[in-house]
Amino acid sequence: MAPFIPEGLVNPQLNLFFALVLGLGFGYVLEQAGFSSSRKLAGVFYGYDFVVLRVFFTAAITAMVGLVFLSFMGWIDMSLVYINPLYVWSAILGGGIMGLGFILGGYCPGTSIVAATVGKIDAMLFLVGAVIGIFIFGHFYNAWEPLYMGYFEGNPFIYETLGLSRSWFAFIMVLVAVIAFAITQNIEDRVNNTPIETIQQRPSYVLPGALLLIAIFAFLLLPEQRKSNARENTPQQILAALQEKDRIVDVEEAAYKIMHEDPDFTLIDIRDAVEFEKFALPGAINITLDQLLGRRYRDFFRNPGKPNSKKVFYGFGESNADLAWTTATRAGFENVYVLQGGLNGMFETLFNGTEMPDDPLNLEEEFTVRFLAKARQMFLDGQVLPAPPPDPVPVRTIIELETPGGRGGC
Amino acid sequence: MNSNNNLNNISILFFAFVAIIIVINLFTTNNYGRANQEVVALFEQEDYMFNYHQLHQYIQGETDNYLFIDLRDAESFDQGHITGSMNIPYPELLERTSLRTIRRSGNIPVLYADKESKAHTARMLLLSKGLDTNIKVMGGSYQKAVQYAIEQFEPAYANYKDEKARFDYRRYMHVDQPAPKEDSPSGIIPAVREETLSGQGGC
Repeated sequence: MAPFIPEGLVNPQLNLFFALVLGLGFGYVLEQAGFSSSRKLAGVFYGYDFVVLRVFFTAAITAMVGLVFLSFMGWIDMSLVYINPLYVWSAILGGGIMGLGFILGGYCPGTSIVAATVGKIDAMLFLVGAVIGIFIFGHFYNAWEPLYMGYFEGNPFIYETLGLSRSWFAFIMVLVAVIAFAITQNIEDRVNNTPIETIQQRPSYVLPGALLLIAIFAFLLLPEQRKSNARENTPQQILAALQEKDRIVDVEEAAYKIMHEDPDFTLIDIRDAVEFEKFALPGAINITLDQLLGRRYRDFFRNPGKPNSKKVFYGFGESNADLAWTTATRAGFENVYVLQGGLNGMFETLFNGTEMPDDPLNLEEEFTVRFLAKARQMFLDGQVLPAPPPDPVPVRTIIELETPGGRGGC
Repeated sequence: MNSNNNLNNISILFFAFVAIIIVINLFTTNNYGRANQEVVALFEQEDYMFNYHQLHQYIQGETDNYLFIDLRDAESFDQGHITGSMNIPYPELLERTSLRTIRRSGNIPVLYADKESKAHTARMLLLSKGLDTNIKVMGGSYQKAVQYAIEQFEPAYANYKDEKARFDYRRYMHVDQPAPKEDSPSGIIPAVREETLSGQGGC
């Protein structure tokens, strides 16, 4: 279901609108948490106020537990969630600069804007500093670039690096958060010399904390991800569809569509790139089985296209194309087909042409044979070049095609 | 203390809500035993083909740890099948009894049908149902097996399978560049020279 925008449920043009709404909400929450005060923000460094740690840690574990939960429910596709890639040294250096600026100025970039909005003069000065920093960064970008874009590590997950499962990592993080909350509360009370009565009047967090730990413990027992999601077809549906004839595109149709460069007829070569380079049908694109469900082709497959458009898988034979078809059908992709017999089958039919029928009344078969002869001739002559054909193929219906003179199946 | 009660009540309500969703989710039918991506990865990783050499060994009685599953219909099965094989017609593949039989046999299941692609898709469906990954697919079809392994074993066809180039495609279809000029009589298609294929067309 989610994330909404990559899944196409929300128009990407509304991106900025949602950014504005979420930004306003974020700013409001920061202001309400007291983050427009640099005293409160800097308190975490001096030990008299740990609200920053509590708010951000709570936000992080809420998001984490929420994602684990939604992923288990099959409500979110984690492969589509954007994760900031890791550039080791720029992350370390940036973190250092950010921390230094935080303790010097008393704000972080987001809270400085919140504070400036509510009229804090120091925050406005902080923003001026931020703009100067941006200017320096931009102006001398060429000097920073090797550091900024270097040491790229991709998208490592901390739990993978540590060799833990995702649920275990979430469990440990929640545990750490609960312990950190208790310890920082203690430090805070000591630093502030909080009177004992105030401490006793606080609500007890034992029950909610215990429930949270029980819930997160339950996550450990649950699978990380549902094996199927709501959009997928059931195995029974796939098995029934596999036995239907109309998922197969026969050679005559494929040859005809290729010759006429039908834009709604997409051939998908599922062989590996090496084989694809050696030979592919005109206009075919190369998508191997393991790329099929990837992010790159998601839009292509999710978009069913015009009602009678066809996405046709082919390989050397029919087997791997059928596997791709099964995978695509399970994923709920529409208008997917398989080329009859694959490349071998197509060439067999086209070039080892069938005999003319003896029965002169069998017109349909006669037309087929004639058409195949025509197609064979055009393929042999190289008239079906994908890019500008030297001699454009006239658009005709199958019936109008003439018998090629001379040799061939006639 | 009032605020504490509220806090406790709200947290209990919240967690009860989450628990109910999880329970509902656990009881809604989950059709698959493996996620789509996992199944695809399994197909990419290992070689699951069963070749005619192995079939020959089985027929010779050298190995017997296979459970042959014939996916053709009952009629074709009655007319002839690999000795010791079991008939599960393709449309009945996902029925409870079929799945149970495959699951419980201690031997390595080998799928074959009248068309190789049927055996491949059957394996994919079985794996997506969560069955063990040792399921094999016999190359070619039952007819090919009879031809190349049962009646008489032909080592040249031992690795017969669907996914193999059988033509020099570029000679027949001019796509990007003109195909290399070679002398071949027009109208006859020579098979691609491969060790496993003898000169007779391969199909």
